Amino acid sequence: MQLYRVQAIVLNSYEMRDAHRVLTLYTREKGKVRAVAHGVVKPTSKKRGAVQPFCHTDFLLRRGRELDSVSQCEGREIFPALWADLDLMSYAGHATGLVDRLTADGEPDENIFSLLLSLLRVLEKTKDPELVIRSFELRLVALLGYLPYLDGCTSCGEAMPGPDNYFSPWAGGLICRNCRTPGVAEYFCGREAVSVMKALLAWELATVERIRVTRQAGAQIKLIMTEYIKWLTERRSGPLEFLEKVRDYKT
Amino acid sequence: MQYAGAVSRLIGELARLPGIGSKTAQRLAFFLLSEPPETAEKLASAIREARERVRRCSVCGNLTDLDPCRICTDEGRDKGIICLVQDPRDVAAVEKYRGFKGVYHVLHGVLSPLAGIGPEKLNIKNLLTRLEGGKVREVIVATNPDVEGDATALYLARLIKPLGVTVTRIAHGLPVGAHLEYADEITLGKAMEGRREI
Repeated sequence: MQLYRVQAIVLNSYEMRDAHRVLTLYTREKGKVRAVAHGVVKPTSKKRGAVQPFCHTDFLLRRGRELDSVSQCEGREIFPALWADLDLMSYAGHATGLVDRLTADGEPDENIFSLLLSLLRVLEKTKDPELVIRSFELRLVALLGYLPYLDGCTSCGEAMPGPDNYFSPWAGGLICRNCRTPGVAEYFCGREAVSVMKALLAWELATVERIRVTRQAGAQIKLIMTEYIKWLTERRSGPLEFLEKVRDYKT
Repeated sequence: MQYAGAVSRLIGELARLPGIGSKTAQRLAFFLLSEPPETAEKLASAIREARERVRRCSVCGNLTDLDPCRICTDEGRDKGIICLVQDPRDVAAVEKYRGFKGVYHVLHGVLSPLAGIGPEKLNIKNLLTRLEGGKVREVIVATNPDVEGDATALYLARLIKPLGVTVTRIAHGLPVGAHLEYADEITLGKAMEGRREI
């Protein structure tokens, strides 16, 4: 069949020639797909609203030799609140960017699709987007087979959390003081941080904002997840760096 | 097909231009070679002259051959209203409307949370210098209504409002002549939000 239907979340898009955009979609049926949306920059385009980043959209795609193209599309959810707040926009961009970088083309995963969709819905309403995004990061890496090991030392097996826990991105979990490798970046992870990370994995995404976290533990988890994701993707998150720049920018 | 060194280099240079692939580059190269030599010379001198004389206006950042540009020095324009655009081409687009009598400020880009492009890459410092005098009453943010354009608008509003300047955003909604039944949800939502009394 030349045409096929998919339900997708628009992860990202970039300009192609003057008026077209190449979309990166995470589809429920076919995993990650790239498709050209012709003429969507023009005010007369009927597709332009539904192809914006973060939109949950029904697409009718046409197979092409190199790239598929958007034949029709209709938005299901557009998440307007994410467009109205710079922080939420950056968090949503971080999440879609992670899915883009950590998944391969054409490998569908219903759980990843549902997780991303839930995140976009929760981000619109939550009072604590930082905690929600940490929970999303942990769940996403878990679904992809990188679940951090938080029950013991990844090297000697000693039961943890103990008094001194460190997180090793390289080992993919906790490491005790005795097993630390000199010169290797490992990050302090207190008892509270360990239990909050477990809760972030266990609780529903919509309810994680109720978890009580001290500023210290929150900062430890943020650093650990940032470094773990950097290790997995081999780069820093553009949207999170952008958020820091925007917060710190002094003219 | 292999071409002589100079022809091949010409095709290569033309193919670097935006929107021009290798086939179009070949067509343009052979057009220039088949025309009288003056055609190519005129084109070359126009490119050289534009490249040498055109620079950014030290006030608004628009491309100009006079510094400050004609718009910034026009006494008939209201210097109390600045229209912020992302690209010099947008100045030309707004000027086509003829109804705007304020001045412009060109950002030369937009913030992009997705690509990690921050405020240090844009022409924002000059804008804040222009606002320091206290003569500016309103800044109209006329960036494109997409993720990047909205991010830029939100950031600039956060930056400029504390200076006591009114920050407005151009209205979003249905294009003239469009039918409601063909409008998408975002556009209709924005059109409803931006409705006004008649």
